[in-house]
Amino acid sequence: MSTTRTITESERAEILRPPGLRLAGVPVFIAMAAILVLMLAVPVLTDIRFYYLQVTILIFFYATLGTAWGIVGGYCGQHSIGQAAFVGIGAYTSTLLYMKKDISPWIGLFAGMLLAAVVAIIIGYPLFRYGLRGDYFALGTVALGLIIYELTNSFSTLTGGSQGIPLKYENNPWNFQFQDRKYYYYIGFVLWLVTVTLSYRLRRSRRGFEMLAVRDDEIAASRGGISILRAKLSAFVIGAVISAAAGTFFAQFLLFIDPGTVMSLEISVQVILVAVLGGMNSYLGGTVGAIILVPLSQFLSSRFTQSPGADVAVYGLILIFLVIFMPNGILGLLRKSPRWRKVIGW
Amino acid sequence: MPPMFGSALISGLVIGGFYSLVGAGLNLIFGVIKIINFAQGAMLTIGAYLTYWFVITTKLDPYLALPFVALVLAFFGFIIQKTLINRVLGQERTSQLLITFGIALAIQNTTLALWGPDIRSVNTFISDKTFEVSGIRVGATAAMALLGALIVLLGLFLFLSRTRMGTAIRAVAQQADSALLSGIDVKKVYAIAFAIGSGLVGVASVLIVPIYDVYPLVGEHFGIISFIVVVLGGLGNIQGAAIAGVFLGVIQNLFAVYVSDSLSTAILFFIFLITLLFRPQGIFVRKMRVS
Amino acid sequence: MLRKVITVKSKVSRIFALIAVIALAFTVVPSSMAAPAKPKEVRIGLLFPTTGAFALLGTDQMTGAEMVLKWANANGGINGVPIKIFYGDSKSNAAEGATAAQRMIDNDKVDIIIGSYSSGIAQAVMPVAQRNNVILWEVGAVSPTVNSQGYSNFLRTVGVSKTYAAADYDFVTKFLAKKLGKKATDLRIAIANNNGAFAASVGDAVNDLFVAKGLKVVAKEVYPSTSTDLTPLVLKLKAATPDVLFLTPDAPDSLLFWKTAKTQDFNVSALVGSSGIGGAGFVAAFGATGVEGVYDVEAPALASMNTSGLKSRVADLTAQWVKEFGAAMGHPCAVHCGDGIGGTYTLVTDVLPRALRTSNSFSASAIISSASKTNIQDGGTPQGFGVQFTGTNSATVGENTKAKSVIMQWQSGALKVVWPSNLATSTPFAPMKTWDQR
Repeated sequence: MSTTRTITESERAEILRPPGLRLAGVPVFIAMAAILVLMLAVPVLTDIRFYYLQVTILIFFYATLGTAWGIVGGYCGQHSIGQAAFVGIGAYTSTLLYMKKDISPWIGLFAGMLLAAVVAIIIGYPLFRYGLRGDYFALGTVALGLIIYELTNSFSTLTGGSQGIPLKYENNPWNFQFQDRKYYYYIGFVLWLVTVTLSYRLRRSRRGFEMLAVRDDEIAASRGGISILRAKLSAFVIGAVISAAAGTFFAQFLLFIDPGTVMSLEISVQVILVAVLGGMNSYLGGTVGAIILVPLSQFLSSRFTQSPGADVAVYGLILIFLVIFMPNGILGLLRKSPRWRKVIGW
Repeated sequence: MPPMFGSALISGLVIGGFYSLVGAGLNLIFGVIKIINFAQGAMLTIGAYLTYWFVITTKLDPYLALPFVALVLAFFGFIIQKTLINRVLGQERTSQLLITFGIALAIQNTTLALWGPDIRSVNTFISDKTFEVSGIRVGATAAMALLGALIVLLGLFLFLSRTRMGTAIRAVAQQADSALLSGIDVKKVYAIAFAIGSGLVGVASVLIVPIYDVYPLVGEHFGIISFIVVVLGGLGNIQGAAIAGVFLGVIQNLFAVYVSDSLSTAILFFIFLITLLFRPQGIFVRKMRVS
Repeated sequence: MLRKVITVKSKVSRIFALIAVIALAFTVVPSSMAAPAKPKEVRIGLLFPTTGAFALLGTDQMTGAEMVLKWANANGGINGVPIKIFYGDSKSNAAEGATAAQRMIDNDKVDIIIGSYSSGIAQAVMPVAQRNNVILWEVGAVSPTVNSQGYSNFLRTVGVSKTYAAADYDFVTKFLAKKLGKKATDLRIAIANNNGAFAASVGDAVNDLFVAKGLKVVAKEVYPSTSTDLTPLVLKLKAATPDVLFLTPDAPDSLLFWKTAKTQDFNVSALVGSSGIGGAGFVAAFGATGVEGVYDVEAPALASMNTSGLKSRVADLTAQWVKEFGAAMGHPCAVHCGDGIGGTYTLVTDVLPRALRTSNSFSASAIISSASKTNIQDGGTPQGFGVQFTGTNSATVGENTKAKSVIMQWQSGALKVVWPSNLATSTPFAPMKTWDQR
């Protein structure tokens, strides 16, 4: 942020103002509210094909994960490459409790979130403690993802191994199961909205500022009296807990889980992709990224059904070009404007 | 030495040799350019296909493809660094990681789209030979692989320590800014480091093909294991990586024989995690660090 | 500055425009109601893993199924009703499979999904099919738990892993034991499989059956499907000195295993493999002498089956498809191609015509009701076994009770069906040569 001229008082005040949506102005605000209402209304009022709702559910899922990743990677600058581990922990905890102990997945949801928090602390504490370079954290999360995957695969008597677990279905809302799958759409919607709201509020909170300070300059942050360990750890734990919740949701929606579906490295990378494309520094980055990438991936795979591999290859190329030509993501385009910068909480 | 232990040990050394080669290449790239290269495994796949097509078109022995494959991959690595990664050096680490991941996706699926998922095999003149010493058996292709890995790694050490370019690479790895000030073309050195790292993978792929055959996912698992090698050996520590690769191979096979085969991959990841948590600088002495 | 804000604004409005477009996309209202009159077409979706880890054999299976559908169309469809074919790729991933299934159901309006190759994918596709009241016509997945939830719209023509175990047991007790000069209960048997879904399912089924029947299982080894070195596995198996080894790998580890067995001079009197052991790559890598005598248990590989036991029309068609497949794909129509052909053949020649005749409809209920009357005798499908589905209130819903696995053997570079004798093109031999003798 180097400028060649001194900034005026008003600009200074502008910079120090906390980010906020209301800066966007009334028309945008109304438009956003209208979109939310529309999203709620469409499944009820129209005869929409479920495929589109299913793709939207995938958007909610990845938007939630991308937003959660944004808290760790965007706010705090700690780039996790093992987020799928937490998705898997959430999915497997609730599913195993449900299938083996008949405990409602609604309770399992919180059990999974709790377990994810514990694992995040166990892994995160030593990694952050020594004040190591970010690369170690990235590699550590890769290791976490791989080890959870292999263990789930290997201890098949408990986890079903690579054969996975089909969930029993009995149309009981208390068991997180619904005859009408529109409910999954609404649950996904709530999950996403809660996550974005949380991320937004975090961004405006003191803890959020601490995370940003740590990301931008650890030494300065530390001199300013911020506990770096606390900032990083809380970001990591929040990201893990949200991801676990998304995992439980995904398991209930699919009614089947196996390690490849809920805890593979591909998911971890997909999540990063979503966040980076949208703009990871913003609480809306994950959402924007998912809105583009999920339909794109669907489009490519329906386009190239006759030439296997071509869609994923194209996906890879698009990824490369995006990173080179749009490195700050789509929302990053707005960061140069003082006003919009505040709106998106860059 | 009981034959079972001996065979497990020797086979561990061989598989470890592969880990060392791929890992040393990754570590060179990591140490110099400071990026985590997710495309390492995919490069191995390309190398395997190049070897296969070399054999099919020339009818020569696959080992003769070595200079060709190593050079092509080195060139390929050079181009990747020059045209793609050098453009995003100023950005977040994650951007670079995503680029390499994008490259991996593109490579793997292009091979799938072009040549299909079939498994292809090639045989060399020593495919049928086996050495046996007091009940311990080792295939000639495996022995060749170990020997090849050893020679190439030694060559790499000598290159890095004895040549001007090697010194430049180490200088850039240690302090890119100062290297720039002293007149080194840092971006060019980056590209050369990436080329060498990829060339090592090319060597590995030629040695691997007679043992593992050729299919689109052949490199994937080696790519992942090379991360472990890098961490265990110490980030940027080439010698450490070489030793760590062999160490991991031996551990993996002894663990598989005497404890649990089904957890023999998990144990590697476990070592990975434990190292990161408790001895992140790597477990080996720090010589020949490029960073 | 002002200019900047304006461009930013226009970018903002572009983003919102994009969001608005996406929101609009939701409001597109489809409307299609099934007409009670004679259907003008039947829409069938092929959903297989044609990319990712299962691409090799998944593509074979898809191609087999596709050939039969195209053949049916060229011969008047289903009694004059043409088949419309749609394609989906599950990318070797269960969640992708579920999404692709929903897409085919909503956008392509498929009546039937033919799939899935993998049990994991089938288990994720099945709830989608059931809730949309579409049939999942399973021609590939072998895990017995795929339909543990008892979904009514699940119909599977291929056998489950238990049929592999049954064929193995039959073969061991009725042939191998005699040939090797031992009582079946005295044979030293080793079982090994990787921890992938298919291999684990078959390995466990074999182990369970053998232990229950009192056979002597001297080793049961599981190795990671991602393993880079199988020397430890071979060393342990060698130490157990088995007479017979039952090995269930995937494609790449089949080759790696056999190379390692050669290096370590690991010899058994009989190796009964599966999956990649019966694949074209296996003989390509080792040559005819290298694989001579190795057994493979699976649904029959059509290219190497004796079709003289089939009804003549079926035999002719099978020969035609085998030829067509070989020409198109460059390798013989083996097990998975056969699964695709056999299952789809039953669908288009038996179940769908009857559904059209009796219900004048291809609705799920019409198909299920038609399938419940299916009773094809052995020799009536390209795979040799008959088809009869279990009733909808039995424990295993929609399973083909007549599905069988056969034992094949590599003989002079070709995989020959050797057991049971009515489908056999050759007689089995044992013991196989040691590595020294090859």
